[in-house]
Amino acid sequence: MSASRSFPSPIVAVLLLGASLLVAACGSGSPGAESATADARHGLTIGSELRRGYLDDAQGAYAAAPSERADEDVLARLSPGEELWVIDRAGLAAAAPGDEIEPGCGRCFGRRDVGETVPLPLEKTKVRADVAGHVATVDVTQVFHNPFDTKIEAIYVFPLPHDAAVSEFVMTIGERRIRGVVRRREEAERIYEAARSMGYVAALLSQERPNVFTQSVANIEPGRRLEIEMRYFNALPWRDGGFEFDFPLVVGPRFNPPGWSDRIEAHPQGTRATAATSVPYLAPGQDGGHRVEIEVEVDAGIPIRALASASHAVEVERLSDSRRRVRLAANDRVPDRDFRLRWELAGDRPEAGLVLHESEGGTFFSFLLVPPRELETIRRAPTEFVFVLDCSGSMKGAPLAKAKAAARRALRACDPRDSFQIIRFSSEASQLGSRPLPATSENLRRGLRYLDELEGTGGTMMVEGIKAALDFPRDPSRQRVVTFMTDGFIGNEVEIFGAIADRVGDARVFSFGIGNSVNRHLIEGMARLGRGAVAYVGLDDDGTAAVDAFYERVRRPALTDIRLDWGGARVEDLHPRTVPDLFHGRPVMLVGRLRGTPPSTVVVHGRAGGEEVSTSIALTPDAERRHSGIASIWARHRIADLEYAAAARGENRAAEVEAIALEFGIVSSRTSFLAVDASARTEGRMGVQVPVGVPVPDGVRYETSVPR
Amino acid sequence: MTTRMCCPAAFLFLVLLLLREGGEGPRPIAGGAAHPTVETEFAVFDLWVDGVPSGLGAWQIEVRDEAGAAKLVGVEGGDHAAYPEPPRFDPAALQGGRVVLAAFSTAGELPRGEVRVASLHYLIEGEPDLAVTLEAAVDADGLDLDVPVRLTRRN
Repeated sequence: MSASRSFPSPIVAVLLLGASLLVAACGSGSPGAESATADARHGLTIGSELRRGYLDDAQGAYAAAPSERADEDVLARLSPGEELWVIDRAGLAAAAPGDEIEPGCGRCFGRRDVGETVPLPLEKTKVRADVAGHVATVDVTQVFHNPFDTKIEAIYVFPLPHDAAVSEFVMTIGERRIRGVVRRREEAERIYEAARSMGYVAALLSQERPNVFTQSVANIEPGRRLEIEMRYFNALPWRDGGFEFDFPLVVGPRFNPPGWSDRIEAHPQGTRATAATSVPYLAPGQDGGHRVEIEVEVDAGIPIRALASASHAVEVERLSDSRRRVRLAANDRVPDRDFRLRWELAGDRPEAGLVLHESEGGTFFSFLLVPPRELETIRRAPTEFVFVLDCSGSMKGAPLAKAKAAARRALRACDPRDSFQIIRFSSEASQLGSRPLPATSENLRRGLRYLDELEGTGGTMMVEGIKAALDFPRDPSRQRVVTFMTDGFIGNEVEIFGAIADRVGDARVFSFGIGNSVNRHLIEGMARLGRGAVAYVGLDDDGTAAVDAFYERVRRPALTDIRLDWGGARVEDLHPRTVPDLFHGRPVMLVGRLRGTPPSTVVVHGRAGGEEVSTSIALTPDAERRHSGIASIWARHRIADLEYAAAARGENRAAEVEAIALEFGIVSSRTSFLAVDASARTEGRMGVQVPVGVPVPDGVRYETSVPR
Repeated sequence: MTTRMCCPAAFLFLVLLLLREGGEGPRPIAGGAAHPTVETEFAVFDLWVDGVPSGLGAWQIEVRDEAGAAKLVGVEGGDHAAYPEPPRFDPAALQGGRVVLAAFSTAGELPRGEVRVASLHYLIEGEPDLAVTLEAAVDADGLDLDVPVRLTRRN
């Protein structure tokens, strides 16, 4: 990480105060939540509420710091309207040895000096997203070029959202555009190999995981440029009061347990890969020149109350009450962390409505099932909290410090009726005590001391953490709630899903993705199979909000055993096949097929806290929208259902996955996109293969996460 | 309307693989084991709509290989500005060996006469027997056009 940073307003004071480096700046910078991300990160416009908020956080994060008074002094010197910039060292005072963050390693948006230039064949990724209600249509264009004096084959392992239904693929060579074809994976690979060896320009898109893909582009001639365009659709989640659009930009370095065959390998750029899927990582100070452009147009349908990115500097253009255009700022285009955009709407919940698409196969729909308000008033039973922290090498430093800060806050929020356990895992698992402890003041202090001592090192034997968290005897008087705090950088997701399904019983798993580029396929799958919910805490986020929202969820009972009555409408092929339990603040996306007239109401029946709950949701015609991507989204959800079932029960559902993917023309574990320019062969020898090196995700340490 | 054509005999080929040593940076492509071992070639077929009396507003054409020797590997657009994008096709039909392509245009000036509406990139393994059928074509006013369609091999 570079020490060179930019700030949006003149710096008038820089103070290193024990745990935190504070930068006080004159108040000309923050133009408000919708036009900058400053508020969402660390630039705080000073006011009494915010000042108190900071000090509360300081008590948690800097409990051991001797300079709290100095922090207060700094705050006292600021006037309303001025800004306080905290360069991120949250939790540092309580970090274990080895988790230090070097002075000057603050996070700002203009980042990463250009160091040693590594010639790579990927110049740019352009992302253009159109969001209509809760459905996104996203066009991704990868611009390849050949900087060498011989023909090359470019290999790029890259991420997409885990629920992206990739349904279009176009290769552009000069002015010519060739639309690709979905074929069975083995067949596509065979045709691509034939084209490559015969000198034809060809491209192949294969899925390694639902959120990891390989782009192969063969026979790029010296000096030539070539573009690959992909279009995908996905349904956006509503999390704790707002919709979120996430676009991942880098695959984090995965750990593969010994003997695991379906690996995603991490290795230094310039060294030979040993796995079929491998990601070469640029060393600190290297720059491959790859940059990103992102533009998102949001049409929420109802007025937008607030919109911000917690991850990047963006420019926001207000098009109307309900529409915004968002562009990534010019100084923040290194693809080293997820792009995250969030908007909140007028009212406290999204509108209930169907999004439809009519086709020969019926009318496909998506439906956002919002938790009934009755959940607000029912109290939960005592809880047995099990906090599981990933202390592997990739979590060393800022990610582990953030996880520890979240766990501290969660511990402090325990009710005296609750009990708790803390488990850490890396190459092996260990825990605070032999059994969960009552949440007394003394025990909580003991838990906090245990957290302070945790360090990040070693591998990620997550299955050991799962065994430790779920295998010990149940306390029949308490609901077991397991929270995993991890970046998810593993290659054996299927094994983890199987382990959770085998052991979860009546416990619930809530997964916290910690970091700026977490493995969301794993995080989402753990929560789904564990009948819980996810939360994401970026390294620049205020983690307290995520923990508080988590407590809002678990301090109320979930709505379980859900049945939906669609009136007279014929609803078929609903996915997820079993409607997930509903938690406060977490609507669930359902997709299905409809025969005949859309329903005007849906009645939701379920149980919460031992009580029967029923609520009726009106689906007014005004709430019906049309979107051509719904059929693809349905197919992707159907495939996800099959693959989760396969992981949980060890079944082979590959044939069904393949059939659905081929019918709907989407990429899957069994199908790939292929495009060949058969018009002419390229000249000369076959050339060389050039893997596209990528940076380790922001906040992840190269030396502890990329094997030598 | 359906027309047929057989492509010329496929040819044998030989690819010499030159491997170079080297453990860092760009490295030689290793692909010997994956080289095709049957008669394999790639070819482009241009898809034409002929004798369009008024502007071609929309069309849908099916191309079928009765011999099962041609596999679609790419679709390119035509050569008129009214149809700049490669046409879309039905993925479900493709699994049955049919390529069902369709496009429409709202451009002010629509193509007339002999129009190349698309080019199909194929992998050929054996002797294909390609048949092309016009399923629908309309002019700018939505009136049906009964026009011939044909497929010609380019390379």
